[in-house]
Amino acid sequence: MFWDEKIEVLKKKFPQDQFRIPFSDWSDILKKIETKFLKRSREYRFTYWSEYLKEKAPIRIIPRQEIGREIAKLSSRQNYWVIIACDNAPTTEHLVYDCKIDAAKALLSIAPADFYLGDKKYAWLAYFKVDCAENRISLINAGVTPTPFDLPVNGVPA
Amino acid sequence: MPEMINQSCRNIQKLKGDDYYYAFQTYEEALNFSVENPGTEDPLALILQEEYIDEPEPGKYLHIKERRVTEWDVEFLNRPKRNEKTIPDFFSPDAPSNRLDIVRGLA
Repeated sequence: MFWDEKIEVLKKKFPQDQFRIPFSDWSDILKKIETKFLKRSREYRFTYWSEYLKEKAPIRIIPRQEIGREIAKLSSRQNYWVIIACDNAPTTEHLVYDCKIDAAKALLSIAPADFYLGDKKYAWLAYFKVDCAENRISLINAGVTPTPFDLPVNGVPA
Repeated sequence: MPEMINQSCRNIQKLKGDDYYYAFQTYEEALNFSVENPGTEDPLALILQEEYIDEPEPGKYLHIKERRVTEWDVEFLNRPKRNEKTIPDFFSPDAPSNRLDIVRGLA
């Protein structure tokens, strides 16, 4: 199934308040994220964020199958920006979606490479670096404000 | 008729990890099994392709000339049957901006 078809499946599965493609404002959203979280002297916009993040504070490394437990730390009442990197190459582009938690889980289950989760008011951005070979994900705080994923796990600080 | 499978079906055939499957000759059999057994997913169709369009990353398409078996959502079987022009049309410079309309039979 092609990516667009997978997205269409999600559009059918979730109402628009839970899963939305920001057709008209995607570039503004990505610009705002780049302005706040990425280094400025970049030749190309909307590509290869992972190398240009201003901050990269490691949170923890998790097995890939435990991603749902991390996503469950988000509020079920809020929407988040979910940014999908098309692959992990220097030319990779980013696709942004407006998701509630269940839609985010479904979207991330089909993500082909790294991805980001961000506050819709741009307070924080979390980078999820996917290691396919080791089947694990590195959680990284891409800003200075703590993300929901910085919260302790079972009382043990991250 | 494509062979139908169910994934994540307990006590059937182990595939890998926690996935299980059972193959059926018809959609009706697969659907009945899926409906009657909690924890199963909707049936998928297994399709043998002699060549296909790969999408290694969203929006980037490659013409792969080798045989494979792939899984399709059953509703895709309602699309027009592909022919020798489908893939060339898909990659043609004259293709519509939404190339997927070609495989959907809309262009």
